[in-house]
Amino acid sequence: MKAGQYYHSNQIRLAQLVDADWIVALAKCKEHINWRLKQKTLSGAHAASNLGSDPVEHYLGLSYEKILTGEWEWKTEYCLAEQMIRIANSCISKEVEKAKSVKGESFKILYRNIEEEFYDLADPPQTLADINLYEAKLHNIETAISGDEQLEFLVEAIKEGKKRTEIADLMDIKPRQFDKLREKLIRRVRTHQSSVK
Amino acid sequence: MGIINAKQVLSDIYGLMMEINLHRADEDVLEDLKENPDPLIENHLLKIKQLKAKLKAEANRVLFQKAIEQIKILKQQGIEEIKNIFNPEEQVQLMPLFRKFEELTKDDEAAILEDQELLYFMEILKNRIDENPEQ
Repeated sequence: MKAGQYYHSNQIRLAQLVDADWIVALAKCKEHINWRLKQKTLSGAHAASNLGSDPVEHYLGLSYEKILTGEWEWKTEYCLAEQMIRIANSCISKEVEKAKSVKGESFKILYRNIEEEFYDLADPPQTLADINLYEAKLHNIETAISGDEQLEFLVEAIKEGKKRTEIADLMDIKPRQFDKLREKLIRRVRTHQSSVK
Repeated sequence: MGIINAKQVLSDIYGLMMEINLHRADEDVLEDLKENPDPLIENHLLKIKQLKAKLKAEANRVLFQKAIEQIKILKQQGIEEIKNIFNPEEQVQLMPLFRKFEELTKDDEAAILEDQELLYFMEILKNRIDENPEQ
């Protein structure tokens, strides 16, 4: 593995990191990849089968390898987690592009607004089977959160196209409380899924 | 709910989960992992340490090769010629390092990387030679 053009500049910041910094970044990046892959599977082909390994592990590995080797510049304005997430996003998008195009595209590093990037514009479903699948998935979430006023409000706000800060304002909650909602939503859906099986 | 919207709503729910995840407080993430350790993260932390060590070894090897090449070039130029690039005051200041450099033998070359002082001196020499190409 060869050192890239940003190896030495990245090393200056990398040398200041402790294990806890890496652990937080790995945990956030892993969770991000999980959601991103779910989203990309909605939006089109994701060629996870071509990767030759577990897709989450594959992208998580790439997200720090490219910083350590200096292939990607660790931009000063981003924390480690955000830089790793940006790399993972780019690699996932590139894989989707490869799946869509036979020739593929040359590797491009794109810096976009990460908060906008979370919200993909989903292509319309192509088949009746797709339509049924998405409706069933959404119904599954709505059933799981039924009876919880906060979560019901959250999903209704999403349906109206509201984003994180707008929803937080509407619900008058702080970021940390928002995170509790995230945990609650995941827990509710998991519990519901296991009770259905 | 329209057919297309179901897909978009799902996509937006996943998007919101990603956004909340990025903004989680570090201490909350660490607390969660303390309660529910994740072997995958521990495994990747180990891989990061291994990769860092591997890259550092490779960087040192490249640095060593460059240092050896630089010594050869500097010695070919002749130490007296190199001294002339510096003014008398600088020559006095750098005298101990010039002496060290002159006495450098092939056996010492392997230890060069450990000698930060000598590497620094070589960097000064190289920069000064680059600034004075006529030398």
